[in-house]
Amino acid sequence: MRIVAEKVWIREGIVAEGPEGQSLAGNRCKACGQVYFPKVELACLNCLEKQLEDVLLSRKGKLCSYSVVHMPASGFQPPYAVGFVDLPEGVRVFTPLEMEEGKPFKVGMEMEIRVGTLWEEEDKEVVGFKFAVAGG
Amino acid sequence: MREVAVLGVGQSIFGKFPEKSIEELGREAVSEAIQDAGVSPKDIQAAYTSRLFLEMTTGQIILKDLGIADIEMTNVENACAGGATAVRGLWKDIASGFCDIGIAIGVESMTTSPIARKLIPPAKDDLDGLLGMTMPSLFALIGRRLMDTHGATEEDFAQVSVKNHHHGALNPRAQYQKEFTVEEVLASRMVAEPITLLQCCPNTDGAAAVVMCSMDVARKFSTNPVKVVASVLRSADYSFRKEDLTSFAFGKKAAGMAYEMAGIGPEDVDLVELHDAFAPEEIVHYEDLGLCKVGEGVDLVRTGASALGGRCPVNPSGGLLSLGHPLSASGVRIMCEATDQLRGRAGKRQVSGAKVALAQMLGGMANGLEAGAVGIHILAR
Repeated sequence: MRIVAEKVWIREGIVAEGPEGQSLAGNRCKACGQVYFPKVELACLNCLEKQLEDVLLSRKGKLCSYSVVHMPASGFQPPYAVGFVDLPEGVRVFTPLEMEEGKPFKVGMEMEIRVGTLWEEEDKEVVGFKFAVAGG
Repeated sequence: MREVAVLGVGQSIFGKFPEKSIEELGREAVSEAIQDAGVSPKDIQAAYTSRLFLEMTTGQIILKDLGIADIEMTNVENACAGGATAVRGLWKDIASGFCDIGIAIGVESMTTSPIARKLIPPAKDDLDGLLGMTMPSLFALIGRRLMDTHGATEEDFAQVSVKNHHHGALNPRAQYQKEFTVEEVLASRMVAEPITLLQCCPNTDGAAAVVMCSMDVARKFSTNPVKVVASVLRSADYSFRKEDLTSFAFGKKAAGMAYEMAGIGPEDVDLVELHDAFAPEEIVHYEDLGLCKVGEGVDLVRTGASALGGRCPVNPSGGLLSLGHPLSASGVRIMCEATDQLRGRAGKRQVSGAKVALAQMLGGMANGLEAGAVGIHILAR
């Protein structure tokens, strides 16, 4: 019998459940409308107002840039891909990217969030988010 | 404000010297700078020292064996801009009249640091860092974007490295001192696509020092002092304000401030020393410093305009790619190169007739910020 590894979030509270599935959990300043991911805690960094509301960010965005990396970093073993994805809310997210056969990355292509295991270590699975080429 | 001058510069050998202590590296640079300035250690009224990795009172431990103690000493850190921050601190003290003559030092022993042979780690618990962000990855992403928006090619990035290694081969103090071809650069180990190993700066131990003073004092020691005509230090703005991945908005802003302070424009600059830790970023800085129009950075590489002999040589020292990058030393070391160039004593890498030199160092990385800090100084004779 395989012992089920404990699942640990890379950071708590960065993903929330929405009508279309799990998505990045950000917040927005009620005064100036600036949207943040990860959430700002104390006040809007743009206008310093303290009225912030939680928002669920779009599940899809455009690939701003990408790189396939050939050295380890954080818990990732090479090769793995990282990139920036621009979400419609005006947020640019740094994110691991899902590498899939037959789906090469291209700047400007549509990407979609996938929540799941990023890597495994000893007796736990580290859970977070990635973006993958949309429509897969 | 008073005019400030560079009176003397000094630099240790750059390379991998795990047997050399911080004190030894620092003393090599400081001794040379003081001798070059033609002053006595007793003349030094203030010292700013930059260092990133470990231990305390770095300035005091370097200077105590040279007969410099019991003065005002400040130790600073600002990632790759740390050395420029030390220079800026000293500049402010002299310009405002708090002291007449002082020394700025930058030193780093990367091979004995906790990150020897490793990447510079992000701050603990930094979300981007946990998700795999590293310095090479960031500049790889910037490079990929340049390929899409600027028509840059992998060969263009390799050419930046070829150029700086060519310059470094003319500099007896460079870590590499070796020429490479575009093919060799591209064939070196892939680090983060499109960046290969020879497009990354090496781990380096080294130190640099600069003696600065008021112009009144400088005239007593020299008939041809080098003037510091601009000094700017700026912290990074929030990344939510950053639209263009191929520009450091705060670096561009700092450049504008420096040109305004100096009363000159980028067209007046004869040579530039800048942060080329990873080859693609040199092209970004060309545009942010106004050396060309936005979108034309790649052309400076292709036409040779940024190479020795070109319109505005960039990193004639060899830059971080070839000369090496002891993090906190680099911001002081670029002042040494600028001064040597303006004094016409840069040897085989001399930019002929150089009258104005710009020294830029940018660095640091934090989730939510564009980078860490940038320091820009403009020197003139």
